[in-house]
Amino acid sequence: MSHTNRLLIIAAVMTAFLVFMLGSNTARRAGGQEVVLDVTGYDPRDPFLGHYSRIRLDIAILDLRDLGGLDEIQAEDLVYVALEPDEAGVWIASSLHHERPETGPAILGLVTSVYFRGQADERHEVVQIDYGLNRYFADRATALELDSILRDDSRSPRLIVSIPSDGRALIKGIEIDGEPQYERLW
Amino acid sequence: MGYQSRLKRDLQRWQSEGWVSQDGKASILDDVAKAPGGWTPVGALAILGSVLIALSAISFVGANWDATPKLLVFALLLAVIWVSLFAAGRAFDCSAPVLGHALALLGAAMFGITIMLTAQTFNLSSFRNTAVLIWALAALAVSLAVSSRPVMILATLLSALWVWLEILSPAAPDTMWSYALVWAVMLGASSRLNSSVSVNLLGLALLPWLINALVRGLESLGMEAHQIATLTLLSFGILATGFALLRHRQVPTAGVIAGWCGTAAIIGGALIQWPLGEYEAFVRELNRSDTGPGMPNPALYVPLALALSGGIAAMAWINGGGQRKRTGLGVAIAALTAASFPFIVYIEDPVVFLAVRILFGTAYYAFCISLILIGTRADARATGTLGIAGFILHTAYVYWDTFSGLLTTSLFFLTGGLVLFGLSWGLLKWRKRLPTSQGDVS
Repeated sequence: MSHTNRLLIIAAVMTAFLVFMLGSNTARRAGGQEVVLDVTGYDPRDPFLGHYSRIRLDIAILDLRDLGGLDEIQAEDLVYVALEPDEAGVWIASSLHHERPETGPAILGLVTSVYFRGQADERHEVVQIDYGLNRYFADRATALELDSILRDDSRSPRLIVSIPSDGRALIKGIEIDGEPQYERLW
Repeated sequence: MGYQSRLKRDLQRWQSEGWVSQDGKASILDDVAKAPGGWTPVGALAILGSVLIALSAISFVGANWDATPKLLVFALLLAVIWVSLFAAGRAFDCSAPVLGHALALLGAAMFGITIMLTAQTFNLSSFRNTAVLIWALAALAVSLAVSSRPVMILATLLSALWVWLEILSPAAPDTMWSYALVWAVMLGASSRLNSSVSVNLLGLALLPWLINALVRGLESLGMEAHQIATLTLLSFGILATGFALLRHRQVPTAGVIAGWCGTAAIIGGALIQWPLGEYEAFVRELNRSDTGPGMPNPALYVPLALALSGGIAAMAWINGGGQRKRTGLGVAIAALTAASFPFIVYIEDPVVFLAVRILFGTAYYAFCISLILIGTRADARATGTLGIAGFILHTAYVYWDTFSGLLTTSLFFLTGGLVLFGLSWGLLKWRKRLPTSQGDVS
């Protein structure tokens, strides 16, 4: 077989992998349950990567006093955080589980640290969880707008997230002043 | 002047001296011409150009994020992969390998860049770094398809990057044993392509990975620092002797890995002795209260350490050639002494402690001399150099530990310098007097 044919076969396999990666993520995003989460963050810019906002979900730090579910939790545990909507329609954590709850949306996260807050009777456990949703890449205009909103305490940007059945969340878009901006393929 | 030019000039001289025939000269030159070529400025420029083109693709997407539809960006990136690999194939088929290597490198690099940019463009994320492994395997496939050593170097670097990203990721297992398989595949491919850079990179990547894997793995079995240090040292020892055996049996590039593992064993052997002075105070302070009644997990440690030591001694004996009795014995003493190292923590009597410490040093010297003996063989000079390096390293340490508080600074360095010069000279004279073995292992 010629070198050209060998490399074209490899190019076809590479293409198949990339199309599968994009297609499967798009399908999972479309099929998952949509939830809206509060975020905070700031906007750096990378000379190679363009604009992105480094974001932190409000549910990234959870006070175990306020939650049901797990009593024993350790760093590096994979946990499901069950979500329920509040009065404003924003989804907040309700309980923590090692297994996916049978009802309601639950987002899969990795416990990065467990620590204590408060003293004496007020001492309680707090967990920090990584959901793999730490960066939101956007075009320049959206990134700049998001930057100003993230610095403005009176406004509250939100992340629109799709949660497929396995709990591994995907970013679906961003909501600014109640206006959703969905990710699109084109 | 390049190797081939030098060889041509030398062959001309050897032919005029009557040492090489005309046919022999032609055969040697034909054989050298078939071997893969080395680094050339033209190749380096072409490869540098491909790296810059790959970087331009990243920055182009970053700068034109909002101006280009996302799927079009994706299609453009795919097109760059196809064009690069197609052009690389054509270049190789048209006997333009320099251009072919550069374009193949560009194609392999663009695959990973496309994964990264697609993930960013469509806001995809993952807890794990499997995409980097897939990139490494794709680069490996490209390198093997066109026998490209530059792409093989990229694949090697990516596999090392993958394992370190995984080791640092809290979502991945603490001990990434799966890298052993990836490493072996990369080594096989690098050997096949005769890529000395890749093999050296693999040797270099092996050291921190194996140390990390053994430390975490043995910690999980409840072993203490001194046991872990010893087993790590012995593991490098058995790898060094194992790969040296393979090298002796003409397995290509095995000698490079043996060299890296041997270096780790030599330095490790010296390093584990250096804190022994502090161990003495540590033992008194500890009074064994924290370590329990004795060494933790001896039922696992002792057989493991003995098996490793036995393996090292057996392979050193086989590798020893004409000096096999002396080298096998020296390495066996050193390996067994290293295996017994963790027991020193349980010695309370200062006099016994000092005696054992001197025994450790003596065994290390025996080990270095064994390596120097192995190095008398014409095909094992590097092993001899390692032995000399270890000998000098340990002598410098002993000298420092003994005289650093007794002599003034200038006299200390003067005497130390003279001692090291004298030892080096003595070792070289002694090595020259040894009979040169032909390396017969039968």
